[in-house]
Amino acid sequence: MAVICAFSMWKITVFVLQGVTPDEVGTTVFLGCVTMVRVFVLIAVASVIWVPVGVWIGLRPEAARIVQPVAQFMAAFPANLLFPPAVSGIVVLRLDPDIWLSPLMILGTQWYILFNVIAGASTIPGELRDIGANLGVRGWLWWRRIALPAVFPFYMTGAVTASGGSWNASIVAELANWGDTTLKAHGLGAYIAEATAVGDFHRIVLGIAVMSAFVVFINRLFWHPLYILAERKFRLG
Amino acid sequence: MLDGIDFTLAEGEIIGLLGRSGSGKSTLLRSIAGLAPPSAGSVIYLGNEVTAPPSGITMVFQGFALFPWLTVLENVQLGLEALGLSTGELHRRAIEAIDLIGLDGFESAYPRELSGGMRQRVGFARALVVHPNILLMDEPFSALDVLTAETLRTDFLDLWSEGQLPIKGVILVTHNIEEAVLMCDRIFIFGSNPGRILNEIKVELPHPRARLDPAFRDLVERIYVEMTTQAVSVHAGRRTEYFPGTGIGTILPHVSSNSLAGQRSFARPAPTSARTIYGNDEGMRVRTALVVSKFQLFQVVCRQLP
Repeated sequence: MAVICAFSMWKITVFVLQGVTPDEVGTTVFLGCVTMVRVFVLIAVASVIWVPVGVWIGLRPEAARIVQPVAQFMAAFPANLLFPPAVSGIVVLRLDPDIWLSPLMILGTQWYILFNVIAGASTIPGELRDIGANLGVRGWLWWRRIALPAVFPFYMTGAVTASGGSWNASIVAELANWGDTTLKAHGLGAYIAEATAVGDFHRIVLGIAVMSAFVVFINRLFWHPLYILAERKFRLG
Repeated sequence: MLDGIDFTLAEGEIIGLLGRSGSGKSTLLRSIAGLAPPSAGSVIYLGNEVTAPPSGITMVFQGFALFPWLTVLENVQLGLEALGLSTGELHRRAIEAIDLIGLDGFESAYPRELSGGMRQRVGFARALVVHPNILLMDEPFSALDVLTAETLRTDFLDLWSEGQLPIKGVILVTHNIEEAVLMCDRIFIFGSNPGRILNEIKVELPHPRARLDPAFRDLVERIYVEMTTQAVSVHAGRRTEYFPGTGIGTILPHVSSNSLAGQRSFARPAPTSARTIYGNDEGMRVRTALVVSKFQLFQVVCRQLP
């Protein structure tokens, strides 16, 4: 397995360096960092919005029964169908693409956070909620000690999925067309999309290789340890 | 579904709610704790009606209900944090409570590292540390093995008798007759369908109570007879055929042979008095009227289908 990987990586490097300068590899890595920052910020914003909503819904079985299938449908719905009106809006209002194309990346993937948190909140044991009510735990203390730790493992699942999906979506979201206007945000997704449009295989392979490397490293160094923590400390029962 | 529950808890006593599973005792306890408001009737605590969980009443659960992501100390501190005490004060009181129930040294352990008995001790510490007026216990020793349960019971009674527990009254829900006689000063026997108080028994044995004491055994026997006798008379007269239409398993109503012979008309016996009212000056009154929730109606309808 390791031999195959090493061989493939060597082949890729040789192929890429045939068509691009080493400087451009550096630029690509920098663009990857830009997209990475964008993805993290978007995940954070989506979490701040959808985690409280998800907990509120999950604690009410009636609401959960209605909302859960809707959220799952929204997650499966192809988000790029909603791109044209958004892009036209950005063009007409002359907004900065670097900021305003970003929400398109999270449009389809934020629902993963929502329905995982709903699932988590609906499985909080009744006795734990009773103790919280009995001791008068309210407000931020309730969130800090009871609700957020309880949904943490589920939130982790949702966040990892949303993050991966957003990286993929960056390829179609960072470079958007409207008529003969092209909107471009700085980032690795735009780089790959441009290279694809032109058909420059060296750059396509470089871009995808860099993106894959970024995602793998982020998973190993950031998501995986957090997931282990969630399993060890926060899992009920 | 509870009917006509009316009792008062006075200061310094342990009350037991004894009954089979499903007789509504846990529901009643939750109503008292403010966790399940009654559909009709009211729970009055210190002169005010209970609509939300009142401060001054805490609960201990059968399943311990500890937060797995908090250490023992953090679990115990939770109630104090909710009261808004300063960090030093709440640390001191939490350590005090943990020492009291005998878990000194386990402050930074997580619940999954503890045995069942130790977890329930943490549950007690958490309930006691806020100095409640009334402690509610919902079958607290049922999930423990016999020896651990006995240890915890005797430890609890020792602390209670010495006055070291900062509480004024206890309501204990149990299905274990011996446990009720061991711990309680007054026992209310619950019947089911609907849940109501069948009888009240005062236990005047001095602490510490011995299970082999003749007076103890008499009381247990008496309660056992009460609980099983009532069950029979409740079902008499109801058709409960095992195989519908064959008459097999039908419980026949109690009818005197005189009325069978036509010499005396059948008179319905007076219903047993199910209410006991105590006029203590301080305490708590519980009044719950007959309620038929939509869920219960659904259950009743189902039973009538073949």
